[in-house]
Formats: sequence, structure tokens, C-alpha cells
Amino acid sequence: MQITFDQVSHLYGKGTPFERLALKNISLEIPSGAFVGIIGQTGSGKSTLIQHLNGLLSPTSGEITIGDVVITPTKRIPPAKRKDIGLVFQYPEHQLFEETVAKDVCFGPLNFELPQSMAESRAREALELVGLDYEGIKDRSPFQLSGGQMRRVAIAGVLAMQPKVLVLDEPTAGLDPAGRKAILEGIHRIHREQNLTTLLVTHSMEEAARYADLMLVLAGGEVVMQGRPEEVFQQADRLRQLSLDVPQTVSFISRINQLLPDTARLPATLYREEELIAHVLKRLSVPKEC
Amino acid sequence: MNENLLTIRNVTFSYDGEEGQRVEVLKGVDLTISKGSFVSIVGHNGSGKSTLAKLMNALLLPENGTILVSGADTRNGEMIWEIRRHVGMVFQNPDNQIVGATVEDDVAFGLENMGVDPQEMRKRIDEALHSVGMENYALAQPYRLSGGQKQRVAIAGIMAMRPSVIILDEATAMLDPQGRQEVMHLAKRLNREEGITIVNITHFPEEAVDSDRVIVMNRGEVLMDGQPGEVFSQVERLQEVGLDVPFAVRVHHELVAKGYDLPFGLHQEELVEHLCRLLLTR
Amino acid sequence: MLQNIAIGQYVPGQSFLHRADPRSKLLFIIVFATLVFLANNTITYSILIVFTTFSILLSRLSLTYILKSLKPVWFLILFTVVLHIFITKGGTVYYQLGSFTIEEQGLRQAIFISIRLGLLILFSSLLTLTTSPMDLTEGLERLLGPFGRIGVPVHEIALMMSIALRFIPTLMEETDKIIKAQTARGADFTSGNLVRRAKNLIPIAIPLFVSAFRRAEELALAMEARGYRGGVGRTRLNKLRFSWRDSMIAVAAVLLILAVGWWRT
Repeated sequence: MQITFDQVSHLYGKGTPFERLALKNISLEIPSGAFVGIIGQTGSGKSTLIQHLNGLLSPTSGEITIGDVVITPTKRIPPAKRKDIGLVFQYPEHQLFEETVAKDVCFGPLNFELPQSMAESRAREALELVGLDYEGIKDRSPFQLSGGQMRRVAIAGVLAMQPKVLVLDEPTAGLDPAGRKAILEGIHRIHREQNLTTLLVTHSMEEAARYADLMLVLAGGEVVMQGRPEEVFQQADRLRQLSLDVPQTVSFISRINQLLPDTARLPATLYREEELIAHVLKRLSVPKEC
Repeated sequence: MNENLLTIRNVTFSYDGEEGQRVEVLKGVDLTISKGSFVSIVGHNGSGKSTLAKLMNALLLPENGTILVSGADTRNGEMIWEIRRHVGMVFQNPDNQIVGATVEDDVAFGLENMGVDPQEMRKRIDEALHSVGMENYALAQPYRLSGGQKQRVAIAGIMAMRPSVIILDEATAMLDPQGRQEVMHLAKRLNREEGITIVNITHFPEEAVDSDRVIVMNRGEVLMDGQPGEVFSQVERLQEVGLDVPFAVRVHHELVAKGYDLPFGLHQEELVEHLCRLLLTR
Repeated sequence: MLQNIAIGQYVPGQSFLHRADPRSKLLFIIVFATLVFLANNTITYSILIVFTTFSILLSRLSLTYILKSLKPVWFLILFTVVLHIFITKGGTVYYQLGSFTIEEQGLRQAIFISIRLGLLILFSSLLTLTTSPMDLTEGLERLLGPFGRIGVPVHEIALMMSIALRFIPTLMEETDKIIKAQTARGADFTSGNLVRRAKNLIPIAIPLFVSAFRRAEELALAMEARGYRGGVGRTRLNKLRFSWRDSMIAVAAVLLILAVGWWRT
């Protein structure tokens, strides 16, 4: 689903001493099927932005278009359309509540009035999508699983609604490296197989570099950069001004290019680690004529 | 310098699992940590590293074996308060370890427990807040602070108690990159300038590269123990147990695997230098 | 949506009342409450009303904000008024409809009782509005201190109160997050009858309990790691000190007692 923001602002606590403009005139366009990395510091407006997507927050001004639904300050998203946008919050395992894993995953589908049998088959599908064995896990209590498993169950709970847009707020926070990789690889696979439009909010430039084909950089409630990852990463100085890192690959290339002669420079588009290594290997295998 | 601050001798620990069987968390761990060092303990979730941390300040007692803190056995009930004063702990969730309603109240908590005189307390709180750079937040309410600031307050609470070692039990896991950097800079500075021994339990390989020593835990045992260079050069072994290595090491590993001769380095700067030479001399 | 719930709604400030010692404020409230119950005629009530107005001015808080504290108890005041009009009889009959009458005593009582309730609530909210929760806890702990000697766990009660206050913002934030997350999964908290609505709260209540327990457990561990072992041998970072303001409050209390004692009938 295509997503468009047109001059969207959001004001918190209007008319109270705590009034705060969290989003300032945001305009952006996300094509259907994109994998978007949303980067920004804590308090930059990332969470506020994603909560507008399924009507948890309404814009104070401006207009949001998601597929064929238009959201304005006065026009909210129709409840039935909400299921099209799956929102996975930070530490989603903290929202598990049912006695069994299967029941918890069915919660969403049942809320959208799917019949029990259908909800169950959706739950099976969703749990298998996140790499869990349905038969083995369905009757267990979600509270007795490991941290990584709980998180997968929680993500499955959102996937079971079969959303067309999947929004994830730091889905890897607090996990160990193996757990982080497994979750992200899983999400990327689901993104491709289910033909989703995916928005990944992350603090990690490495994660964004690896998966995103479009990036949004937020600061102080504004979109300060948007574009393809290589375009964003090339503005390394601007990112540093915003106290954001560039991926290791990017800083590596810029460092080595300072030492290499102009003709031997590495292309700055190699922000994916595998591509960088492959390129270096290729360069090394060709004997230099001089 | 080589005085042993923490001695862990053949320690085992287990608890009752889901279906009544015993789950072994630590299976005979032997370690000594010397005074003034900066030690990183890495390991995947469930490798026993957090249990080890809790054993070091007598929050848990070993099933078998002994743990000595500056020579005092953690099982000696009379020494327990002295041990806890010596061994400060910072936990993962910044929200769940702040007791006080204001920053200075929270820093005071440990001192109040020790029965420190109010005048002395005032002095130590100011010093501690200064040493973590939070002196301007003394009267702030903790929930208004960022994650990194909360963890610095937690460290101030420990510093005020004049500890010999601070254990960071995945203290950066829930922080954003900026908060993580704040906490790591602080830990390094306290180690260097105040001589505090730091034990940093972490998932992030980048946090471990600059430590004096890296200990890798796996399934309740010490899998590797040595200087960062020695440990991180064993890339495959680390990846087998679900751990990551720094970027420079990964790239180095890939190139060496293809037969290129490249000196080992933990940091990007070294890799850039070595690789540049290699590219130019081909 | 949760910002509207006001618990210990302290408004920071530097007024006379803000800077007075919480112990004298607490003690004064006791004196004032007693006087409110002793007052029994127009003069004494007028004295108390004038005094309350004066105190509100001293707090330098906006009047509308203070009057808001009456909002949750309007119903209670109205209820007592009606009750007294119906039940209390005596004096001139003002109005009669069949066996139903409104009589002088009933009206009089109704007015006095609602003034009483109103004054008590206004005055105690003045206390919470001008005293930070931790000062309040500390004041209570110090005042109740003597009861510790007869086995009342004063320190534990005070610590529990202050931890509860410290975690209110955290738990409110958490509740907000859980509500949003479950709403995103299609949960509906606003429609249906009472039973249905109560049932709909389960997806919020359980995660909230689970998290509160997890927090409690982690906090207990963190407290233990920092050498907590109960109230024995503990010192406090002393912050409470009486000042000239507290002497003024004491003088006001004495004058008020004398005035109400002199004019009450």
C-alpha cells in the first residue's frame, strides 16, 4: 500500500502547559512494497509518526493517505481498515496476555470478527512465518517462553491480522546478536513473501543499511532526510551533526578513500557489508597494472 | 595491580526448571578478576553471565565452590553488607532500579542503608553526581530523564558508596546508541581515573574491544578468556555460539579466508591502514 | 487520556505554602478539620471560609485549578444536601407538597454540611497541590515516628508510599502503551455493556500486572544490591527543617482555635 503524508503536524497536550509540537509539517511518500528504515534519536518523533498510520493518533493538521483511505484531523480511519496496518510496538512481548500462545495470536483476528476456525489457521500460518513450530508451541503459556520466543509470538499476533503494511518499532531491542539477526531476517523474508510495505524504526544504522531500500531520517519532529540509503549515507557530516552514526561500512569507505589515490577509490554505494567485501575481493584478485 | 579482587573457584549454580528438573546455569566456573581491570563478559542469552554477576555481590549464593570478594566469602552472612558496598551493580532496565523520587534521593538510598551521617551523605552525593556529570539534575524526577541519564544516576548511587568494583549487567541493552555511549564513556573514565574495577556484561562486541580482558561464557562455562585480540580472532568459534565480532574483524576474517595476507586488527583504523597497503601494493 | 487522572497532583512553586514544612501543614490540617466539625453557626463558618480563601491566595495557585478538586465530590455534596433536606426536620416550614416538607433545620444542615465537605476537600487539596509527594511521605514518616516504638512499621509504610508514588508515572506510561498496542490489534474499549467492557479490560490488566510484578521483582533485587535491609540503622538525607513560616502557621492555628472557640454556640 502506498503511504503519503501531506503537511502533517501533531501537537501533544493542546492547551495545557505541556503543549509540544511532536511532528512539524511532515510530507513524505512511501511507495507500495518498500522496506523503509526510519532513523532518528529518542524524541525525534518516530513513535508519534508511526502511531498516525493506524489512527492511534490523529494529525493536528495535514492529510495522510494510506492506499485508498484518507485520514485528516476530523476524518479517522474506518475501524475495519485498521487491520491493514500491523503495528508492532517496542518490546511487544509485554502485551501478551492469554493463557496459551495460540489464543494470544488469535486475539487480533477475532477482534476483526473472523470465525474461530479461520483465526486458528491464521495463527498457525503466522507462527510458522516467524519460525515457530505451531504444534509444539500453541498450547504453551506465552509467559514461560524465552525472551526471543515471546517476541516472535507477539509479532505473529500482528501478522495474523494479515496486514498490508507492517510497522515495527525497534523489533530487536534488548535481544542478543543471534536473536536480533533471526528476527530481522525473518521480517525481511516475510516482507518479500507477503509483498508487504514495511516500516522499520531502528536506532541501528547497520540494520537500516542492511534491509532498507528507502530511508527517513527524523530530527526534532521533522523529516530531515529521505531517500535511498546510499543518498542518505553520503551526507555523513549532516548525520553526525544530528548525532547519528553512519554504518561502519560507510565510515570505512570514507576513511580508506582518504588514503587511496583518486583512481583507486571505492564506490560510496557499497553500504551493504557483503557487497563491500565482494568488491574488495574482486579488486584484490585483479592484478594492478603499474 | 595484580591483586585479586574477585576470586571465583569451581562455582556451580542451578535452579528448578519448568518441569521439576534441575537446570544447570553454571557448571564449574573458575575466574579471578584483578583490581583496577576492565573486564568484559560476553555470551548469548542464557549463557549464565547474569547469574555470575549476581553471585559476585551475594544476591545469589553458589551451590558449590566459593566466591571471595577482597578475601571475604560471599557465604559469610556477617560480611554480606560490606560485600555489597564493595560490589556495585547496574541492571538492565533503567526504570526498575531507581528507588528515589528525585535523583539525589536515589543516590542517597545506598548511603541511607549504610547509615551514613546526613552531612557526610550530602558531600558524597554531590561528589558522586559530579563524577557522573549529573550535578545539574540533583532535584529532577527520574522518570523525566533519558535512559542513559538514568543509568548514570544508578552509577552515581554506587559511586557514593565508594565501591571497588562496578558490575554492569547488560546495563546498555535497553539504551539508544547515544545512551550506550554515555554509559560506556563513563565506565571507562571511572576505571581510568578513579581506579574502579569494571565488569561489563554485554552483547555488543564493540563495547568489549577496548577492555583489558574478554571472557566468553557459553552454556554455563567459560569458553574463552583472554585479551580482546586473542578472543575476537576466533571468529568461527564465536559465531558458533551466537556471538558477533567487530566489523573490522569480520572483514579481516573474510579476506584471510580467501587467502590474503592481512595483519589482524580490532579497530576500523587498523583495517583501513592494512587494507590500503594491500590494495596499493597489488 | 491518562493525563487527566490527578494523583498527588503536585504543582511546583515557591509560595509561602510551598515552602512551609510538610509536618506543620499536616498538623494544621488536623487542627483545621477539627475546627470545621466544631463550627456550628454563621460566624464560625464565615471565619473558616475567609481563612480558606486567604490560604488559597497564599498558595498563588489559580482558583479554577483548585476548584477543580471539588469535581469528583460534587455528587457526594449534592447527595448529603438532598438527604438533609428530606430527613432533618424542625423550625419554619418553607415549602410543603403533601407529606414532603422543606424545613428550616433541614436547609440549615444541608448548607452547613456542604460547606464542611467543601472546606475539607479544598484544604486537603491545597496540601497536596503545594507539597511534593516525597515531602509529604517524609513528613508523615517523621510525624508517625513515635508509633515505630510500639511496633508500627512506620519506615516500611513510608518507603512503600514513596516507591508507589515514584512508579505512578512509569505505570501510567506503560498503561497508555498497552492500551495502544491492544487497540492496534483491534481491541475495543469503548463499546458494549458493562460486563462486556469489564471483560475487554483483561488484555490491559494482565500485561499491566505482569509488568508490575516484574518491575517489583527487579526493584527488590536492585534495592538489595544496594544494601537495603529494612529500617534498622538507616539514616536519612535530612531535608525537613522548620522555619519562620511554620511559626506563622502555628500562630494562625492558635488564632483560629480561639476565634472558633469564642464564637461557636
